[in-house]
Amino acid sequence: MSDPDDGAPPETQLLFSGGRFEGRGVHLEGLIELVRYQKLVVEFAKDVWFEMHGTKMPGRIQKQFELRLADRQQGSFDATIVSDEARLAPEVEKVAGMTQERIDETFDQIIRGLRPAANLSEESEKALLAFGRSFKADEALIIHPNTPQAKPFNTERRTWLKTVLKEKTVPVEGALLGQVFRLDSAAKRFQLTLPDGRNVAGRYKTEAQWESIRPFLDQPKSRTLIRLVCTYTAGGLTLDPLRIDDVEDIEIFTLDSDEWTDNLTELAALRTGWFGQHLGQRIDIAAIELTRDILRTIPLPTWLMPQAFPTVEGGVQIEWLDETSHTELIITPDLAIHAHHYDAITKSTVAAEPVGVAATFEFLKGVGRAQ
Amino acid sequence: MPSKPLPLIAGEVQLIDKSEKYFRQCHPSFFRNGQPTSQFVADFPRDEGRLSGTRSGSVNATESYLDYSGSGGKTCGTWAVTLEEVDAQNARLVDDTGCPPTNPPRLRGHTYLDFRNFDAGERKTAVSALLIDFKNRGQQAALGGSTP
Repeated sequence: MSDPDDGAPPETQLLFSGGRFEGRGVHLEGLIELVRYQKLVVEFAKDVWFEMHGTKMPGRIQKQFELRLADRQQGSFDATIVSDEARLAPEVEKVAGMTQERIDETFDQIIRGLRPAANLSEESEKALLAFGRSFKADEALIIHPNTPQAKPFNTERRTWLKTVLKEKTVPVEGALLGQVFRLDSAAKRFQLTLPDGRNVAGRYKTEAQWESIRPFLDQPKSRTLIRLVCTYTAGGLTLDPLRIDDVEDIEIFTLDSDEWTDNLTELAALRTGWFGQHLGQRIDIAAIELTRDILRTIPLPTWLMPQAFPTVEGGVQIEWLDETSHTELIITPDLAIHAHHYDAITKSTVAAEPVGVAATFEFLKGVGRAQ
Repeated sequence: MPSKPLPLIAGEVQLIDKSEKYFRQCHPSFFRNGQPTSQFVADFPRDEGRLSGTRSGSVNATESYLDYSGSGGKTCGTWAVTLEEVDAQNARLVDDTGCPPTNPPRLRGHTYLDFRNFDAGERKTAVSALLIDFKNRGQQAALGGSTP
């Protein structure tokens, strides 16, 4: 797509080749792919609009993404398509440019054998899968036409895409941790930014406690993370979240930046089934917060830093381990604390069930893990 | 002191070479800052007191790691204790590869650490003691090959 110029609608060149697109004119049935391309543009533009504005694209804007066949060349079907509008509103120009970049990038990834980006909405994914459905084996849309990098998007690539998008994704019931941006209550959409910086588009069908997180929305530097108990679509070898499909519950997890932050964030981000073989409950936020409170009682620096681990029941284990002794605190999801210490030199064991942070600290002092 | 061990069934063999090693794989979530947590030696209800591992008489640490990860298990490496160390906790190691086949099949050299006759407190103490032994011996193998 050429750069927008003073509101003039940008033009896109699409080079189709083979079969119905060759020879004398173009077979009318082949034009269906232009209609599908328009659908693709509209859906991708909606995604871009939402990411930029945090709201659903208004109908009057959407209309500006309707396309018109402006010209075609002889030989293979080289179509020039433009907006149906003579001039584009300034805010639409930018979206149009970003939309075309995203479409180009998506096709580029597909022909290179890479999975398209994670932030495709369900509708964009459907539009992408629909494009090229009528292609015969010898027909294609040429990506990077008239360059040495020219490659066909054909039935082979489309079949691969279907496999990647449809068969390699699984629905997951679990928890995702991050920060929420661009909550649109009317459209029931939002964006979750994961701790690693990746963005995941989200939707919700049922009303959840969104009001409770209003103070924490759109705050990239906040130390408050939001844990969404949700169903999401995961894909790839590591089952990365690709799209959040619904949100069941929302939890707020406040962190202060200290020695334990990374450790505790990892625990909070574990998904149901993290252990494998259908084991591993998601870790209870209250148990993590009690863990944080206990850890903060330990004066730092200490010669032996404890580590916090998840338990398959959804609790937390805090552990100290050295060459001659082992101490552990198990914090259950219902906030019971089971304390245990073993000394390999004396072969003695101390066990207790302290109640609360202060009693736990006393236990740790008694076994030499705190002073 | 644990109660008397349960009788072995046909096909099971108790290990007797005190220097033989018992290999155990560590789930990545149970490993942090270079150390495993005691949970990697703790048994889940489905284990019924039998902690799966392999024996050094049949496979080495790297083979144990590769067999386990190759069968779909999540592991960040192999850790080991000797039969002598297990004996010190009044536990035993049992090779059950001679038993009828299971689905999924047992790994090569499959051997279990038998805690069935331990009560919860005895098991907790034994796990702590063995964890120290595992730690002091160090990681035996991980992706990329054996470690000393």
